[in-house]
Amino acid sequence: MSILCANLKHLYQRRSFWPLGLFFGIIAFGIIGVITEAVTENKQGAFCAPALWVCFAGSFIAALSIDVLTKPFSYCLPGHKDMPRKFLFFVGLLLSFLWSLSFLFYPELNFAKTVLVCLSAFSTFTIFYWLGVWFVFRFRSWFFIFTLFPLLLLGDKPLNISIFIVYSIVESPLRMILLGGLVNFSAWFYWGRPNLAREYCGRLWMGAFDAWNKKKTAKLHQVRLAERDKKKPGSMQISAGAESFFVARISGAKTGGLQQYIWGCLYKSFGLMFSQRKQNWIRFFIVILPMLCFLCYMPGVGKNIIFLMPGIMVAMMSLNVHSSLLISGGRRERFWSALTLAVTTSILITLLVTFLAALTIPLELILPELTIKGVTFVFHALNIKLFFVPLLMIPVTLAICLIFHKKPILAMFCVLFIFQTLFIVNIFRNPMITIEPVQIGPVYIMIMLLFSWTLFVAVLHHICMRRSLVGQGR
Amino acid sequence: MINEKPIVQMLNVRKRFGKIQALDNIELAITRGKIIGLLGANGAGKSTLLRHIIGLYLADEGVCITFGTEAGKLGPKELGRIGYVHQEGELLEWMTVKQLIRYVSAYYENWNHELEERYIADFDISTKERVGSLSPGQRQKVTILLAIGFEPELLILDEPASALDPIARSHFLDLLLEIIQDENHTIIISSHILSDVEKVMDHALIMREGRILRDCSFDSLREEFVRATVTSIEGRLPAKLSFENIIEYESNFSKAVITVEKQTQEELEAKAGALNCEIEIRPLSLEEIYRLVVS
Repeated sequence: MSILCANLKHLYQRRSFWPLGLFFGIIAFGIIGVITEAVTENKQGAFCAPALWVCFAGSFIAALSIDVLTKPFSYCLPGHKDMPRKFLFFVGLLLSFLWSLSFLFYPELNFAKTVLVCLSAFSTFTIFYWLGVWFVFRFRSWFFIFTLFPLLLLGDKPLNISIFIVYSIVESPLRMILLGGLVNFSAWFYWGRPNLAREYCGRLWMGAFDAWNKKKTAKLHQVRLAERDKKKPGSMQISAGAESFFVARISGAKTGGLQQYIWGCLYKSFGLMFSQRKQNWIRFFIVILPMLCFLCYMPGVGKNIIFLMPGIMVAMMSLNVHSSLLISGGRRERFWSALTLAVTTSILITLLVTFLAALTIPLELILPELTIKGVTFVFHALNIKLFFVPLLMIPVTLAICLIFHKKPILAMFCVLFIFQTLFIVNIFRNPMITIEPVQIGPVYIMIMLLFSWTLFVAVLHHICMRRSLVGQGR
Repeated sequence: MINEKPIVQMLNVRKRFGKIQALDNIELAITRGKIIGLLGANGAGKSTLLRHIIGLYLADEGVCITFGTEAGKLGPKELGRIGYVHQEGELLEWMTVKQLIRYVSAYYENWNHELEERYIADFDISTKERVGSLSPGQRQKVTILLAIGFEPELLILDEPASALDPIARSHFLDLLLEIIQDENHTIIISSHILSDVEKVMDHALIMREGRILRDCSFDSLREEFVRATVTSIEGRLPAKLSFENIIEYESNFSKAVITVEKQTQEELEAKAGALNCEIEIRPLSLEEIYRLVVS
């Protein structure tokens, strides 16, 4: 078997990629459907859909290549150093060729023009393919590619990107063929440079499905923090003030008393956050505020998602229950400190979300209506009466994460399932779909809160007192 | 005077992870003032046994009692007397080494700052570095410091020296010998570097597939197995040597190397004399003994 064939096997041998393959397959069928419809309804813009598809496929193939490149053994394998280039080209050219055939059905073209347009489409799709590949190699992350998706979708309508691409393919085929040739020529040299294997060999890399690998995520996070710390020494370290505050409380508390461990747990979880400089907090709000405005301009359903998001985000949080760093705290101390941490986190997040929701109320009076391409967008404040949702969601998520501690992907699946269900369940339908005030009375809210926190406490207690806390048995 | 009451006692402890029987009917009593070498192949159950002692794992069956308390119920009072160097090397990555030491030491009234300073100097630890950016060897040094800084009565070392360089390993062994000078202290060390363990241990625990194969003093283990070179004084060796409990045998015309079990030096010499042979007896290294015990 040739080395290329062995590498191509990665595409179907890794079971974790099967769902993604299915996803790409479904989208591909969707695109074929859209193109078929476009042929009959004369909406040629749909012909550019494969460009987006190959771009994402390119990112996926790049992630797969880097997965292999970072394994030290692959560096030493004979004849393997040129394999990323061959692999990337083989898949890229094949996919671009297959998608370029869709232009055979492009209306009102004669045979010669059809051949030329197909070649042009092939070249254009390879450009998009290499864009996806380059993106992943450049930013060394597969996940950033998804930030492109909403940008492209949002940008398409005002900028008419899809029409522009199809127009370029059909009306300027020679230019696109030339451009594609240049891009492929550059790609051939870029991904064939002798240093490529050395640059990636043994490097810590987040693979396509490593987001659920907490150990790897934490390690990568540390590497990034260290890199940032190198650029700006001390910026990513705990401040002297925060350290003195917490350490004084730990050592000041009665030795072996619960207080010691509770302060210690809070220090471990919030020490770095409390050490952030003012600029970092300002940066945080600079990022958050436009997103908030964007949500509030969205019509109807979507905006109140902000109340549910913390429930998903805490899935990556550690309650310090499963830790092998032995300080003198026992199982009881782990339970109480984890509970305190969960309560503190929930309160802080709820306060932050409530603050953001409150902030949108005066903004509603100030911010104008926006009209883009004839569509008017009105700023609506968030429904502040949903402030209790994070308090309700966080314990449920934390309980699920504790139950599936060894299988974080399963935990995330469950969390997302509940998240989805909440959209459907009647009690959330009103506040989510309309902008009506919440119809749930305080008694029901209290009952739900009591239920979710009881569930969390029961799970936490069981794990702290009855289960293995490290290693394979947890 | 050494208190002979065990500080760790395991009675009929069983632990299963799925299909794997990690611990099988473990009976163990550890008394003070010893350095116990815990030996075994990968997956023999060493780390599982150690984790039961400090209550990180709970037994499916049986009881594990540490400092008079059931391991699952160990609290700060008991755990404050136990130092643990763990295999995972889990530390708080975002702290500097200095911050981490300050954080851990805040929990212990009896933290020995003098020992801490000496250790930092001896082991050449850079306290300003972020824990997350330390090399594996440096991390291991920090982990050891955190485990010994409060001078625990029971020090549990799970693969403590695997990432240390030879000089640091030598320092580390000296340190263990220094700690054990206080007869109130006990050390359990699990390691694959048998040549190191051999230098310090005085009690051996050998495990295989979740069971304890040997639980005895190192001296008695060394006496149990010996290797002897038997040389015929005149001509050829007899076709069959009449030594008992031969485990390994290798011979040529006039010379044979035998490894025997449970034979005293006197018995061997008497047998050799009867065969009109010279005998040279030498003790086995821990590695050789380990190989014989587990094979």
